[in-house]
Amino acid sequence: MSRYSAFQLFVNAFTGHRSWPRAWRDPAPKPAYDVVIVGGGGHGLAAAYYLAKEHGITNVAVVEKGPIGLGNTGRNTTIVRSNYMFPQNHHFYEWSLKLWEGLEQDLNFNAMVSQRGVLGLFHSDAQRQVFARRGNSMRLSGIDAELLDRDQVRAFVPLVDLDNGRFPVMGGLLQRRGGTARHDAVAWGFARAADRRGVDIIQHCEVTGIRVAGNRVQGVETTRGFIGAKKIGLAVAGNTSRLAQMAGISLPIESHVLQAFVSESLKPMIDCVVTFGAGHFYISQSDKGGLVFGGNIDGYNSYAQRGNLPTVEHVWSAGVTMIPALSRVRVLRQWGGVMDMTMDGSPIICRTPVENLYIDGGWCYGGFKATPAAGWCHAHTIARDAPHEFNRHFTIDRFREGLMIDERGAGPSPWLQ
Amino acid sequence: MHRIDCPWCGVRDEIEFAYRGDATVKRPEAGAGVDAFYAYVYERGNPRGWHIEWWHHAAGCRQWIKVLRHTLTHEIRATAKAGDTVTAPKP
Amino acid sequence: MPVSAPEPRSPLVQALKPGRHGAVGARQVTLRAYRRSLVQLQARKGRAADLATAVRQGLGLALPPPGRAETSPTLAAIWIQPSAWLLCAPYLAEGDLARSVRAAVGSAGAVVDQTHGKSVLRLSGPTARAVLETGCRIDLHPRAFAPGQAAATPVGHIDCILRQLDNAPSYELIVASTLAEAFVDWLLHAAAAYGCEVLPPD
Ligand SMILES: Cc1cc2nc3c(=O)[nH]c(=O)nc-3n(C[C@H](O)[C@H](O)[C@H](O)COP(=O)(O)OP(=O)(O)OC[C@H]3O[C@@H](n4cnc5c(N)ncnc54)[C@H](O)[C@@H]3O)c2cc1C
Ligand SMILES: [Zn+2]
Repeated sequence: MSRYSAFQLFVNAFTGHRSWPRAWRDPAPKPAYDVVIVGGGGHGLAAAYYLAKEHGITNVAVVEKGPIGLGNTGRNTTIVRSNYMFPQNHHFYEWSLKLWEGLEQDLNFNAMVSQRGVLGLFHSDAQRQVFARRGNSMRLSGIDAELLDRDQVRAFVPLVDLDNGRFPVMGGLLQRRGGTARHDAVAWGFARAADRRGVDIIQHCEVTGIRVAGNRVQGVETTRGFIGAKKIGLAVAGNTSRLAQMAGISLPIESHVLQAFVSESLKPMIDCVVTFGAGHFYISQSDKGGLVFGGNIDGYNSYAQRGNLPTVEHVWSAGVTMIPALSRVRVLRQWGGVMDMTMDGSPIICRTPVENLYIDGGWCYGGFKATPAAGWCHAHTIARDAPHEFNRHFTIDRFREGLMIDERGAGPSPWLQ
Repeated sequence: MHRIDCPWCGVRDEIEFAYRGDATVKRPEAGAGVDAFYAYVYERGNPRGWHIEWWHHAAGCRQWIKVLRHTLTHEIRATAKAGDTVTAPKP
Repeated sequence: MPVSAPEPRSPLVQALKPGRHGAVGARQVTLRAYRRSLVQLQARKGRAADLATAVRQGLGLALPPPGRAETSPTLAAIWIQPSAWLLCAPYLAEGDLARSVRAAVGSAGAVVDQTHGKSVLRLSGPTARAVLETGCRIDLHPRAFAPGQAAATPVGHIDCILRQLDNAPSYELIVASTLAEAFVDWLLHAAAAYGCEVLPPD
């Protein structure tokens, strides 16, 4: 398979772009693999890619129940950032951002990574303190953060109504290296790169059981038969507790639905990602011109990939409060994705009580930005049977040990995380 | 759209309620030990199917009620007062 | 017991200017703020029957079941939650209603004065239902809601105790005083299309 390049683009133009080779194979499952990754979203594909690239493990299958990338990877609002408060999170998310920065060269795929800046607004003195503290905490770990005053916010996003009567804007915390990436391209890029290193990507193959003998995994039962595996990694966002239950493991996770919205295409009006600090709302603009926005989870257990109207109303009204110009914007599409909400809002990438079974899950609403590092750490944990320093804190045991990573301080109420 | 039949107030919109989670978890006896309390505080069945859950009618009668709801279809099959028993249909 | 201001001063005195608002037309509504003494009455544990008897004998009123209000010439009782009612009477003096209710119910119920805490409005006229329907999620159609019925439900995003008084139709709307100004702001917007006459406070 050839490398993508400007030259290839030029050559293929002569045949009307009809002779591009397929980007990845469509193999039938082999009877057994060294590693089976369940879930063909960005995380699962990234884990397979890094297993091959970093650890030389290429006898790997990614088993996906539908087509790849149509889970949360294809449903999210594509924000990429590393502006967390806690050191346990800093190094992991910063490593992810660094991987994003070199990802397109590494994968030879245009993932449209755009470091356009992520700005969170604050509306009170107390909130300013919290944001300043977060910014300082980031800078102490070597992550970029800037506290903007009102005038700087005005210059950065002119459309924000700084003086709205209820929630006047006092400033914002900016991470310039944050931004967006093209979600589908991330899945495709990892799929193509993994495939080129020998990974089998097996689509339309649902895992229905995990075979365990003597507390050690043997393989997965699927709709296309049993597939043997020395090691199994789960990357099934939203369904992690169901898959773990197949191996007899109970997790501190609830599945919840998060909605997102895209407007009609408009001329460029917002060239960054901006978050309202007084309600649940964030927005950016895609390269096609659609405004991409969302808010908080609906707030009840759900496996439905759709949400309900109260959240729609909440998100839109917060949006119009922040940017009054939005009141005339027409929304084209709206959808939902199912996410693992953990009891402290932080993820899980670790070994499990069952030998050779590993989990990458519990991403709540923030796992897209983590895609490269989660795959990288998951691969490391599988290959070495031990976590990397970056994911050392993301264990299941942290709940029992009282070492929660609760950025929001919401406690074990996943619907509030 | 969830329309929830409050046993006190009748059918009301979801927006009047605050979700309060899985209603099947039971607080263990004081001496039950760390594992029992860990399971009570953190572990959830998280079924894809029928779920018995608490909703607080915060903007109405202020009562916590039990709701039997399907997490895949969002169908609500039954509601009951907090002290009443609700059983989920067999899957 | 007076805690803050000796006299309940409704925030609506400022917010609700008497006169015409919105469209000029025949099918209009009237809006008026009422000065009321309010108490919340809650049965003590296991004393619901005693409380009902005490209220009937001492205040001349039957405590209503869920979703309903009962009235006597001087007093209204609105069911608000299990074993709890909001009692409402014309304001005479600070603490008047709480004192008389306490005297009537003795140890059968807990009495909390809400006079400062809540504000009372009435919206009345042929289009009153249409106005409320722009921000109220329960069915107010006559086949579903009639005089004597009451509901605690958000109206215009603000928690409200709503009861129908007559077939004009007239609705009584009781909201937290701290939110009354925002509530009236919303209500006047909702009523503008029909025309609204704000009457001087009662
Ligand atoms: C509306 C929305 C907005 C979001 N916005 C952001 C954002 O702006 N920034 C951010 O960082 N994160 C965001 N997220 C979160 C982010 O999308 C996820 O955390 C991330 O994409 C998870 O990646 P994944 O590869 O693990 O999941 P997925 O892409 O969902 O992949 C999991 C795959 O597992 C498959 N699967 C499930 N069960 C089985 C089975 N039994 N057998 C085989 N395959 C199975 C599914 O079909 C799916 O393809 C958002 C999420 C949503 C829903
Ligand atoms: Zn109720």
